[in-house]
Amino acid sequence: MKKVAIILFPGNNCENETAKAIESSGMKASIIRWNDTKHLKDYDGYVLPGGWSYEDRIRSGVIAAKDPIIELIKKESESGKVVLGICNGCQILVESALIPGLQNDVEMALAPNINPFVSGFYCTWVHIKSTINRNTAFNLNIKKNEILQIPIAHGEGNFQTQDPNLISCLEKKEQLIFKYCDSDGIIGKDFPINPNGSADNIAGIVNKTGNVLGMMPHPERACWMRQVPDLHSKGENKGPGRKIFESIREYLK
Amino acid sequence: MIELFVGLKIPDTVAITSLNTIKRMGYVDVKNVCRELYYQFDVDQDSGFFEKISKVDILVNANKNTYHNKLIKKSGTVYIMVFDKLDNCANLQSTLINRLGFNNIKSMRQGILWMLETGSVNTAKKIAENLLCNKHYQKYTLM
Repeated sequence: MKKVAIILFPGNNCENETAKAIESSGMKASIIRWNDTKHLKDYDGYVLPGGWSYEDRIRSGVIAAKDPIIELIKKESESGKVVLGICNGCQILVESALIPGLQNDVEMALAPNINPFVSGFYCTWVHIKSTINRNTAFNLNIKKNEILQIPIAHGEGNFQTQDPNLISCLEKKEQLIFKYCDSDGIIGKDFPINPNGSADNIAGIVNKTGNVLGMMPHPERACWMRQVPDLHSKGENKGPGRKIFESIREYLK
Repeated sequence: MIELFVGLKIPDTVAITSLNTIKRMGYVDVKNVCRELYYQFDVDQDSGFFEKISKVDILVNANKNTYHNKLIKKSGTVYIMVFDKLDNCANLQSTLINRLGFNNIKSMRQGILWMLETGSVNTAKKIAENLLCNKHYQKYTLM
């Protein structure tokens, strides 16, 4: 059975439900502390879970991005291992330049949300869709344009860049894997379809080789239908978020 | 233009963590890091404004904050101001005007003033660029 390490920084709080999501998808999950790197190489993949690592001091994800374990995870990802960053994990991947990963430099930011009604932290259910043709570690079980209903819960989820060419470049390279849309799959830049003002409605970005994903929505919170609004009568059936974890399992086979 | 600098009289855990991170990044010559929140107001008729605004508890909590209106620089310290390019302070300004009655505020901005105890401006710039400021939505100025 493939083994996935969930990296727990001080202040993360989503590690247990992330472990449940991984195990429901047929992989073994282990929660390891950020400073326990002894057996890091033994794992087939890594998840940086949600929460508030280092209390978002200075800004979200930046302190954890400087931790030595991130350099080790970078090296492991270069050998093809899978890395998934969820919410705060996505912020860490952006601040450590693992995402989008075109240069060895921070190319983007996850800026504070732009929301006409709510200042700061905002949580709601959104729709995202997979917008790329190529296969990556995270969409093997997801068809192009398939819509997933997944929750968000963040104050800084607004993908921004000062490079005017970056977004079109990522589009061409098929790295903009998930975008916010409405329930019919129509991508619209206005709130509430885009809940945080993210450039080009970006909800998730993969790296060039498709084995590192940073996404702001929480797939681990939609792994069973009972978690999803209006679908909870379907109980223990697989939820939309499960597809991302099952894709990882297929990729690692 | 009225300026308000707000610091902490209790330990600043953000500054402490920042210093630890700066040292771990290899900038071992930085002896200390301090931080203040910065507010700048453009007002009509500033008579008594600073005295009043410094008593607003959403800006200055008397139990834990210090405040002043003039930056006095110490030698051996580099001062870096970081602003959020996307933040026009609309929510805070609306609260100050509509809820707290500061009708004479025409515009405002807020930032964070980092004070790095290092003799090297170059070191301070590198720390600003690699840690304190993400250029994709923030900008920094050396004061």
